[in-house]
Amino acid sequence: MTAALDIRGLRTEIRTRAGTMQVIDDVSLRVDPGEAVALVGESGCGKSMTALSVMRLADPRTVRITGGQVLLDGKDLVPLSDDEMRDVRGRAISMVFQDPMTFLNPVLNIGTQIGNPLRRHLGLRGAALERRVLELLELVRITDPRQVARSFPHELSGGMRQRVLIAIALTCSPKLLIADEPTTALDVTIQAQVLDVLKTSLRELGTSLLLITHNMGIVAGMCDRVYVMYAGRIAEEATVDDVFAAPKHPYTQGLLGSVLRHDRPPASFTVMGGSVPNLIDPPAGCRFRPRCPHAMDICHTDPPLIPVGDNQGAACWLYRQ
Amino acid sequence: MTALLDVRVLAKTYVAHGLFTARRSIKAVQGVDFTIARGETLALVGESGSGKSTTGRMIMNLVERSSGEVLFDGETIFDRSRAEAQALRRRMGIIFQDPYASLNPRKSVGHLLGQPLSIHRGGSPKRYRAEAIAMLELVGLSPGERFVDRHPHEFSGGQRQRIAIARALMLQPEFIVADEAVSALDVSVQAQILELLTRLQRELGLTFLFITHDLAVVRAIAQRVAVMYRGAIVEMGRIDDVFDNPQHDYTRALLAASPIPDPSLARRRASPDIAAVPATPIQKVT
Amino acid sequence: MQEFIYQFKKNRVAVAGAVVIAFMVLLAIIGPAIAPYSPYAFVGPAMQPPSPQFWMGTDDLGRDVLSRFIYGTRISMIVGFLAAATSVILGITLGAVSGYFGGLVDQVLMRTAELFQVLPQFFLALVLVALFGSSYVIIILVIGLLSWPSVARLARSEFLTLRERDYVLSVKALGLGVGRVIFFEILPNAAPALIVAATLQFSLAILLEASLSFIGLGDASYPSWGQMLNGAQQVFRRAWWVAFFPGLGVFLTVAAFNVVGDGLNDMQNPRLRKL
Repeated sequence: MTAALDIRGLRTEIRTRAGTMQVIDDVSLRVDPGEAVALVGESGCGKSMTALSVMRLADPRTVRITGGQVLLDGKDLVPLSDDEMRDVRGRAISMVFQDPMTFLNPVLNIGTQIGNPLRRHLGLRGAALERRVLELLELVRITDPRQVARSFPHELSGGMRQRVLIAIALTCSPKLLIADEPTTALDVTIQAQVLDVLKTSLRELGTSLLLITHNMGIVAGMCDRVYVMYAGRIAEEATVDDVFAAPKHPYTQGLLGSVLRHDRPPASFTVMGGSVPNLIDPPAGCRFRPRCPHAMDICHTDPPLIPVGDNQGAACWLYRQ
Repeated sequence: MTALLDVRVLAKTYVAHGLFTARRSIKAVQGVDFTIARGETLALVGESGSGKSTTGRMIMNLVERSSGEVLFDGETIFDRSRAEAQALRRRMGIIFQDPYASLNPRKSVGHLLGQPLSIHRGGSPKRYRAEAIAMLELVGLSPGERFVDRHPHEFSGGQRQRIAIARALMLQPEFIVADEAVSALDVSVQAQILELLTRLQRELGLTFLFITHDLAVVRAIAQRVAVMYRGAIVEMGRIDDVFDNPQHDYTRALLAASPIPDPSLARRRASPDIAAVPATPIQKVT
Repeated sequence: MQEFIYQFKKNRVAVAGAVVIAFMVLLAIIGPAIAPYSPYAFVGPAMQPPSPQFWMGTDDLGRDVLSRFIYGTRISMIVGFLAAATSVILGITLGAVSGYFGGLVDQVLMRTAELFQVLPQFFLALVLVALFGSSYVIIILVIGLLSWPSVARLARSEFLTLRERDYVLSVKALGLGVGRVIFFEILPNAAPALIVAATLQFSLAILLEASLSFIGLGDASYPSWGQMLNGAQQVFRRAWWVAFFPGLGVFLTVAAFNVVGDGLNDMQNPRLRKL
């Protein structure tokens, strides 16, 4: 079975005035057909940049993919030209971003905006186009599709806009949907609705999901597997059950220890000391070493992803064979 | 014992009017009542449009109230003389949500921290460099000398929020309004800041009004909670009571919608009803 | 500061503009000391084309065009600067007050601004010159009065935005006085946009001065570029150099200020930033 998305050894760097940042350093991850996979981490870990690298949407003047492969259904996206990439985007792979208002054109009505990818990628016109637009609005559970199709973005609430964005992303039934913090800007009650719509519509179309977020609560409710990212590298990969029940990498342990829940107060505040390393000149070896309570001498060498148990792996020397 | 803060029927109505449009009014806050005892943390919880931020700003006198009363240590905070108002400002502080917007990008950290003292005691902010350094150490930015001459943009979000907290503490206030003070921070940084705030509360005997939309944060930091919806408080009480045994529909909806970082619990939850929560209407004035 | 210079240097056109401005300023300062002749003296035969003796030729009265050009630079730059300063100070003050306070104050000030924008420029100049005579003071005043509304609008829009920022609310919560909030908290943050406006005001002022002098409303006692152009009207066909050089002066200076202003503006737009 070919994975929907198979990233192998991706390396991306960003050129800045102060130097070159190794923002993605040998990242590998896989999303199987029909799966929902989360890529979690905190600000600056490189998770958004991973999505942008896959979609090749980053600013080419400063951002460069310097190595690795991005296999979408077996085909490598990295060497594709801009034109070829344009055919892929919105069709085989789509993306939903955080702020729906800036990603919807304020002067075009919703029907037109949903219709654009249908027109471009599938060549639909006239009545067939209209029908498909309404079908998509129903897919994201919008109760009055005709009215909404006639409306403009500013006339809709935040939750509805995000659902419209999801509809636009799903127009061509892509193999993979990348959602980058899709509900961070929404109220909690609306967030729950939007996430549910996302889950059901993806299931209906058989589309895989790569969910990028820092919210572990959403991960618990939406995803099958998790990749934890830290300072441009994958620290841990596991099933959702395993990562919450028994996180292996010290960073994951610290991260999950900091996560708060509303059903019970924290026993104490477990605080991770230190801060994220500078990616222009990162420390040699494991990037978490300066903050790790278990740091050893061998941690000065880069740890590979070491399998721990059946479906789990941690890039940590604690688990060397 | 009298509460430190006593809010009575506090309300705010915004009136939108132009030369040619009909007058429309928006009741942002519809008469809220609550008290906060000295040393306590009350969380004000709600989503966007609930009026929680407006309430906090009215209490700090940054937004003019439409009606109602706020008593601080037994005395009203409104309609005071200049000197009395200044004295009150020393006792009440505020921390904002966005660490990137709450510090003037053109001022050095030393200036920002010295400013409260310069406003209330006179002299230029430079005079209070020693106090600024001491406060930086207190909030965990040590050694203070390394930070005091730099500018906000040189720091991370978590560090800036610490600077904002330090600034709020310079005048040694008794009461602090934290308006979404940890919402813009990463999870691990959030834990650091909450740990700092609880420690400071213990050491300095502070009273907090903690405004947030995040129920998990509320559970971690507050003793009592008031849930706001569309400008009114729909439920209020001790954390355990409200969260474990919610009485109002909205509180229940809020708890049901808040994600729990526990896969087994998450799977057991039912699908949320799309039509459950209505949008906020704008009321027309006749 | 270093970052500023680094980014500015990337815009070659703007740098060229800055060089031209620097040159003009230098000329304005030391020029009169190095001018070969007095700008008022009749030093040669009239209407001589440029020659080794008279680099820019002579005008219809036999005066050295180069010397007049050099003195004209000083006059034009001073008038331009003072007029721009008038409009900028007036505009920022009124705009800041308007934007910060809003309400009735805002309405009154903005209607006043509109009034000044609606007045026909030359008509106003004509009336004031007729009433008070044509001295450079009047010219400076006229230009200032005509140009302040656009600066005021910009200042107003900056203040409307910035007054809602959290860091402003922070200091208000601490009890900082209104005056200090406007001038020491908000204004420094509005400065980048206002500096761009000021540069463009300078170029506008120079252009306006030239125009007003050209149609005869200026002060003939000192040789500004506009005055030279005014005098050149009659003889342009026969002696192109009498009009060409002052015209070139106006063109280069106005263009220079415009490209520098554009460059400063572009620098503030993060999307246009090159690495």
